[in-house]
Amino acid sequence: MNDSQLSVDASARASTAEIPIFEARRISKSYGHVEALIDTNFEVRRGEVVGLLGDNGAGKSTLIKILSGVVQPDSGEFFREGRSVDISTRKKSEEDGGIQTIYQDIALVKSMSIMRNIFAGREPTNALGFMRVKEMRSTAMEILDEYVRIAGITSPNILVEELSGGQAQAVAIARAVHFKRDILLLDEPTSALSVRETEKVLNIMRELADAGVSCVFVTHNLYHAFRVCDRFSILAHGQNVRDCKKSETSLNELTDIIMTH
Amino acid sequence: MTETAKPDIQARYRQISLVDRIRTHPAGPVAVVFVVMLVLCTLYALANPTSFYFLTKGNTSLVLRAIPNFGIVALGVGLLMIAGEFDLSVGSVYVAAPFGMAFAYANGVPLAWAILFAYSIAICVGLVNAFLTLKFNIPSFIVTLGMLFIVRTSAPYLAGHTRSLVIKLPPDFKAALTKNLWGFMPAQFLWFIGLAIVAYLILNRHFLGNHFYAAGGDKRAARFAGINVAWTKTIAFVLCAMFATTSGILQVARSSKAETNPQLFIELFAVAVCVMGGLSLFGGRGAVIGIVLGAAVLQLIQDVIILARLPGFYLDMFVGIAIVLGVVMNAAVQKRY
Amino acid sequence: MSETGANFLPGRYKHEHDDTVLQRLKRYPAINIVVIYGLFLVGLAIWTIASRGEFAFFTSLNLSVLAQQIPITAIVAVGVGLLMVSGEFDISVAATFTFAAFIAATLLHEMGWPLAVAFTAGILCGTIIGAINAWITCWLGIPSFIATIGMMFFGRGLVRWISINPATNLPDSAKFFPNEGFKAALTGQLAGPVFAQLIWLIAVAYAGHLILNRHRLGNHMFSAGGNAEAARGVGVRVRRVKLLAFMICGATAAFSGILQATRISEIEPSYVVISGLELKAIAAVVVGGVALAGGRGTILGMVLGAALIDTVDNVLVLASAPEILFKGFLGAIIILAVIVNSVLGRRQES
Repeated sequence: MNDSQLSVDASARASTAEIPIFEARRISKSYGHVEALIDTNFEVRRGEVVGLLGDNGAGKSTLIKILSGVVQPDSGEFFREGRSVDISTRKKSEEDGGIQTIYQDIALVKSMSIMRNIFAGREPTNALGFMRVKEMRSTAMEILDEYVRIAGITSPNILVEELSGGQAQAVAIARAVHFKRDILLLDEPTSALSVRETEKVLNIMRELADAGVSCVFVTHNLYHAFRVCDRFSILAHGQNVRDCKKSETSLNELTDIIMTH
Repeated sequence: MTETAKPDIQARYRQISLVDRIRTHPAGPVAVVFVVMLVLCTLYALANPTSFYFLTKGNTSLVLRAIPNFGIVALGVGLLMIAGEFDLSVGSVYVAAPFGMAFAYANGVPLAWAILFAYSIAICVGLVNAFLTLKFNIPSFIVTLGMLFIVRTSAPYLAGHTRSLVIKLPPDFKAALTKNLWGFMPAQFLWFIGLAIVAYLILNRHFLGNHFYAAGGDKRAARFAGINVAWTKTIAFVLCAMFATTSGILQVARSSKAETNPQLFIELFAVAVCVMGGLSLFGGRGAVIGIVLGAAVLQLIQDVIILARLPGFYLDMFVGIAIVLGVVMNAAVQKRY
Repeated sequence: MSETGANFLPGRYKHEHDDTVLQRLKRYPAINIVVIYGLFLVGLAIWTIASRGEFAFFTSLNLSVLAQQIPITAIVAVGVGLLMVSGEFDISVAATFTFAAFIAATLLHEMGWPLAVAFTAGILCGTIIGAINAWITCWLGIPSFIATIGMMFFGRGLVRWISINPATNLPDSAKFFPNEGFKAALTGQLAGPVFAQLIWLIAVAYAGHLILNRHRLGNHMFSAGGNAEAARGVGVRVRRVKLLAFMICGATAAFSGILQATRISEIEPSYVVISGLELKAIAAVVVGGVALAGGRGTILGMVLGAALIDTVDNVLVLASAPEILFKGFLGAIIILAVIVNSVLGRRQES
């Protein structure tokens, strides 16, 4: 596969999409006297990787919590493909907002097998609640095969704790994609991974975006962001300071923006 | 890549090999201990048939009748332990719920309703345990320790301080629960195996089992996967109390007597069995076969102590050591990976 | 008072001295148990008056029974409380209590050892049991309530082993007749309802207070129980702190066991099972406001908690309530106290 070729395609597609598949408008949130977000805007278009960047305390984590339905904003509106949506709970965020959040350390239950993890909370069952184990097994293998293709996973019955950080991350992503979410919100997915594993996770994001699943990539690491993102949204002190396409900026400029605010 | 034919995928993802599965199975160590003990006892009995009556029908029947007693309680405690909580109150549910049944039955309530009454007591205790533990976010072992004594006290108190109650159960009912088949196989043991299969099906074939493992293994991850952790644990608490009640009813059916004897410590034996069987104290790990084998090992030890006419204090000491060793062994097995 | 305070320390610390007595009392961590126990005694006084003296609580006989009983529980509670402040449990105290008394009795009467040695050996036994608990908990990494349940079973075995009567091959109680001087020093009647136990309790409680509030070890206990990670980060040797706490707990249980044996000149093997001492100690400590998860607690709270538990027991006996009711009460009070503590703790944090 030719990476550069694909990313050109993706950005071409992204630019033609008129309405963002998800948009958050004028979000404000304060904790006591601390204003975490002030009239912040954020949007995601189909098939793109958006880098949500900013230094510690810029309001990134508050925005993630709001988008995933854990925290309610004081004011602001959300739109999915132009229609107003309510994402005030985890469930609404996932089903109505189409957002799947993948937190780094709590994405999967480590003491359970991959298969059990993939279907945790969404088990296919018969009327009595018994699981269709055969169906689960074959679906699990298809999921692993289709989206992840990470070497070393030889069976869906392996416990997650036996996987490396990158493999586990990949399984979490594969699960999210399989359950038909439009947008993956990845919170620091690479911060605990080795260089090689980081590379794999970045590739997965790129491939997913090319297949039409948008990713929001929250990270401290500008190199990783610059390698994979189509667009960057930079926060500082709870406000938007820059929103630009990859073609309009450079790594140095991004670094400058974050450093100077 | 998406075109890959299904059989190909099936072939690529193999089952883990049998050896690996046993090696990584949480019940591995207890299985080894059980087999070794059984072989040693058999060999010793064959060598000394006149002094060590291990292989007699009488002894087999005795052992198989004693195992279900705390084994069934341990099945419930184990389910709950996998879901990440403890229940020490089973010790008094085991006593109080069947006592309620006997009390109702002795006062003219039809047997079916009396049994229903016993289970409704169990469900109530399970719900109270769950409510106090989950609502106030208090360690379950403290809540259920408190409940152990509250329930234990209230049964005889509500029934007018009766110490024990002799009842005459219908012979069919008694036989179905406790008949000794072929001279060595008490029906209780078959019930125990049946209930173990039920527990296995819940854990491995039912979505509840998946939720138990998830809630016990990582509460936050389970919540993020959309599992209602509080509801899941509540069900586990209720199931645990119901298993304890079942064991208590079997015991009452066997002796035709419901006692309020408070000094059985069946709750601690149940925890010991689970820990020996490879269940993690922190939840999320374990298998039903481990509980069954753990119960068998504990009873084998007791039997050996009796048959060899060793002093009784060995059993107490053994249980103490087994609890600690069990946890250490579990931790060692987990650390390999 | 507040004026002079303000004059002395103007500026930064002013508000501390401007608080009213009531506000300062409210902040005192053991205030709840002081109020509860006070109200309880007031209630008993009203009951006594209402029943025109029928209810025999405030009689010198009853008070002297209480004064002999409370220190036994309270001394154990101080040890268990210090341990809980450090973030661990001990459910094996009843076994330690009984076993230590048996060791002292056996060494004194069967082996003919000198009293001082037998006494020391008994205390030492408790300390060693505590150290083993600590080793299992902190070095093998087993949650302490499970480790000490294991030790409880093991201790029961030890008690049965040491109490076996060779004639009948059954556990039997042991006599304990130390010389009169020893008996007077440990449990002698000083004046009216004041017995020597009370002095020992005050000594143990004061020592506990010094450890907890005046010694470095106390600070380490609070930090090890409150947040073990953070404590380790600032250089507290958490495992060693917990080892000491376990050993103190074992020693106090052993001392209390010998006190009891001295008082009634006998020690029963069944005490390890029927006394429910471990439950009483935990109830006393949580009623006294010690946080279940560690990091919060006062000695006064532990002692008054034990006093409350024993007083309730005493009242139930006086009211000729069935004996079994007491354990149900213990269970209820543990749950209630833990709920109250956790709600109060949460409110304090927010």
